[in-house]
Amino acid sequence: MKRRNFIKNVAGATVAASVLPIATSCKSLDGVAQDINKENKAVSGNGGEEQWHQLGTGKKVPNPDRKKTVIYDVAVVGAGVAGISAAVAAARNGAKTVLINDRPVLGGNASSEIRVTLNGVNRLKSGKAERETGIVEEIMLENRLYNPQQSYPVWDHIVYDYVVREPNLTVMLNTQAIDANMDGNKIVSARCWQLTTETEFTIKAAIFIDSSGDGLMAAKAGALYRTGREGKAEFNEKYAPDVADGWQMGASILLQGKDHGKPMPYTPPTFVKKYDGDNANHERKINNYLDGYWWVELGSDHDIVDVQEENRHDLMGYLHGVWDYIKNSGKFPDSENYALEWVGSLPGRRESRRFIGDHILSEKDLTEHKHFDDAIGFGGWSLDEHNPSGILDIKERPSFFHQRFKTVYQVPFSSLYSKNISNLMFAGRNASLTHIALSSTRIQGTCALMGQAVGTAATICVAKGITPREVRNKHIKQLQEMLMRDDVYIPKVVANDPKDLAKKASVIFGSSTKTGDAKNVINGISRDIDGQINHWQSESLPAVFQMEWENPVTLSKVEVKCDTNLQKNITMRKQPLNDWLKKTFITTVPPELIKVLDLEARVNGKWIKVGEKTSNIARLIKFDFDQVKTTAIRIHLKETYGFKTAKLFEVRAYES
Amino acid sequence: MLKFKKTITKNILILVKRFTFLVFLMVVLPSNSYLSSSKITHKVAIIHPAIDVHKPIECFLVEEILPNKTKQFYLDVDSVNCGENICEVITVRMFWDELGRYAKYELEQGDELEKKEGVPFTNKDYKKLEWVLNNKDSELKLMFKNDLVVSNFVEQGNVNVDAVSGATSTITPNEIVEGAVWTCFTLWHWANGEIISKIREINRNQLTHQNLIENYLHHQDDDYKNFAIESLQTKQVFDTVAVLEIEKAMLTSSYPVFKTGLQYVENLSEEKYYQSMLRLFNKGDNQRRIACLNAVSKTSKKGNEFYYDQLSKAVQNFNYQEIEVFLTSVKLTKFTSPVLTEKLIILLKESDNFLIARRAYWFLSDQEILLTKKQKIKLQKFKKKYKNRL
Repeated sequence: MKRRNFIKNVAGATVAASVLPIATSCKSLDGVAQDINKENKAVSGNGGEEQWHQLGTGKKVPNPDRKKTVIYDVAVVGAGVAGISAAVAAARNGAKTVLINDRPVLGGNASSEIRVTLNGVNRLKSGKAERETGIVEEIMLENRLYNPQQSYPVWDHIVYDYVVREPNLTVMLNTQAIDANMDGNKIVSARCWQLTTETEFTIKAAIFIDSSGDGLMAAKAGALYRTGREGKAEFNEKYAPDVADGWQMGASILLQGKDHGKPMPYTPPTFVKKYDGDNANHERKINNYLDGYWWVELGSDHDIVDVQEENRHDLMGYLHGVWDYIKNSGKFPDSENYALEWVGSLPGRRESRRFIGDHILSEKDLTEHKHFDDAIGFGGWSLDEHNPSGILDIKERPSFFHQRFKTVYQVPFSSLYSKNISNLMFAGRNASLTHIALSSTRIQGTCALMGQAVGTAATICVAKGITPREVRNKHIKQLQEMLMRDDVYIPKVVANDPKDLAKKASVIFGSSTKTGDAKNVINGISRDIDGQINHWQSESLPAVFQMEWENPVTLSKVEVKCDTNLQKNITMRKQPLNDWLKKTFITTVPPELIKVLDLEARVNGKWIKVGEKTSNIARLIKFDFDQVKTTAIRIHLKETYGFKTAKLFEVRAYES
Repeated sequence: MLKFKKTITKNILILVKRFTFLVFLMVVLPSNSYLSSSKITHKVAIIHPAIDVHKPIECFLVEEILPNKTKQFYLDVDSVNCGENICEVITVRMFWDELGRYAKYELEQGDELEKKEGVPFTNKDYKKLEWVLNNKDSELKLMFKNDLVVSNFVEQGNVNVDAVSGATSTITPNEIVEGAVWTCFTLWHWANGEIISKIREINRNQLTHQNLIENYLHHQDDDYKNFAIESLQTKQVFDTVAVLEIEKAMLTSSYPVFKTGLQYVENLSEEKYYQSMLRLFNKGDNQRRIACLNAVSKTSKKGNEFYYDQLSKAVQNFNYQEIEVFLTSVKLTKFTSPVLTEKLIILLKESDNFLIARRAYWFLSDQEILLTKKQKIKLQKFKKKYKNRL
């Protein structure tokens, strides 16, 4: 009965436009035709008022014209890794949030529909990774624990679980935001079509985040954007072409093969497009039959959105052409037992619209490591600009790795909100970037950091009733502090939250010290970076880490950032790791991660346990407990996922 | 073609030289170790990943006494095992010191190392090779033969990674001499491989207890000290002289030497163990004192009363962390003593450090039943005075 009333309320919003935001998953909106028809105007047509003969009720009613209006604080369009990060950040920080995705699964390019490896700063010049932390790290760690079989469909559900369990967050799948209703330069609502329920949603929100990649809703809102490559002169970019042109990096379709242990013949489909591997550039080499080939890629020199369906068809043909070359050219006899296990049908896109913000991030910002006072995250994938023409020019290298980075660069907030639409932000490949900057920032790990930043910023906007630009101009320190507390690393920015009582501790020590000073946990930098140690490490386990205050403090939260070895990649790959790759990639939960720990507070001279984790799987470990007046806390570090020592990078303590 | 002929000729010469040397060894000397003036040759079997990852290869490791009485070890090896018979092979003599630490390499007069396509090493390449071989944490450590032959990219130091697939990547160019990855791989695993433990074992077996103490434990180099402590432990040398000498080294050397020493001390008898711990605690800095307290709190050895009694007398000199760890340990072991109680009562009033005084207060409050009337009054006074800070 409650469920029925709830649906009535939502449906009523189409006329009242004042419904309360919903707090449950949108999958609850399964619709009851009879009720909906009471509120909605019937569609006239040949069937007329009696078009639908409902055998269950015995009634004849018009075909339903399903329309609903819902209201949120923050609407996030597009649920790739950037959108997921944005939505989760907004919801966790108190905003009623909706995440709208035009596909049946979450994850965008990383989903089982496309299967792009979720890379980040995988490999700096040092040869080491500098992994992104925060929300993307949480998802990746859970995937390593719950999906050891490295199944992409299972990954989809891990991501789904991660998102739908947020109490402030509603997920709408199979829903595309196709238009924006405006009031001047402000988006009032997004018009969305939910394919599976044949329902048109009007989604009202104070803040809109377009993280959809192509950015249809933002474009419809009138947000300024550009496509193509800037000429060298505009941003003084070394790797840009001399003259601007329309080229956009292509989309790719991937495949996965499987060894069946017996000969597996292959006959290509009729739409196959022959691949002349004998005359291809040596970097398009065939070196495995398990994973796809990212250079099965097609772009556009004008409007990649317009040609997307043609490209999809051709890409599917080229994919089979490459596999036909592997199986039937006679040059790869060891592929005899392999067969296609999965083939993509949805191209993974690298580039289309890039919206214009207050700042357009460009090559030199990255290569010269420009310092931004509104930095919100980082990137560090090489400048990896793909070959114009893609697979149409196989004699050319598939990509130009123009330059790798010695260390990570900053990404500024002013590249993440629209220059001309006051309540619109972006995250991911459609942010305010030049084509060359995009060749690095397009990597999903970097996009996730953008997402977490705009999601968090949206909550400041909602709480204060201000625009993203005002956040940038007046509240950027607050945004940075919130992000760093939530485990985002911002290069060259040191956390200094005045509410953090750990910074006021009189004594901090560990039971033993292998490396690092115990006081590093309050130095405001929560990872080892650029050769600087910012951790404390025990000599062995179990170990105890303790903080003591001269005067009692009242606490209800203690937050610990521990070690997940950010210099190794934990992204899911489609091929088994050889021994050498194991140096930079792992396929398990990082053995450094603390698994079992508890927290005690000293109350009236007695230690009392206020929190315990018996199977921790997060880098940022949060203990929430009833307020206690205490003079000391101590963390018992008992067991990791394999290592014999434990590292802590930060400990925070809050009254509330 | 010319290049090929040159390689074949050189390889034949090397084989002849090797064979002659081998015949000399086999005929003249007994098996396993062969003595020749100031040189001893040891037959050792070791795994080398460039040759075979499972089957050990037998080598003739030469030990040589140098004029300064120290030893060095050397081995003649092929410069490269590329598995494809396309590489120029010369003999490289590799040297290690008596601790098995790689020292240097030498080439025969006129020989030179080559890079791909027969390009000879430049001076810069030779210097880079030295750096590569001295880099203990090189990526080469985890590379295997099969990884090296995946493509030409390795030799070129290229990277072929895409955002989409995270596909094959290769060794960081910095880690090798460009164009000579096979040579770097082969020689690195000679320099830093199993041979190290073989050398240490050979050396350890030759040293007397006195040698170990006088020449190794007293050495300026901490690696020598660690070797001495480990060796004395392996040889089960636990006499008073050795114990005192090791304690001295533990207190005057770096912390890792102290940690090695703690493992040695753990092997002492109960009485000697606690005596040693007391000496180490009394003379150690804060880090060492904490390590001692932790070690004792974890040991399974009985008979700790003397140790705790002695420490109780000195609590006024403890810093806060030491007090905390000590009293926690005392509580765990249920140790009680009037001496400790009285010393803590004094701390209530006289400690300059409020945290220490408060910690003493918490401890005493927990065992109020054991206090005298006078002590209880002092405890109450403290409580009243600092009621807002407890």
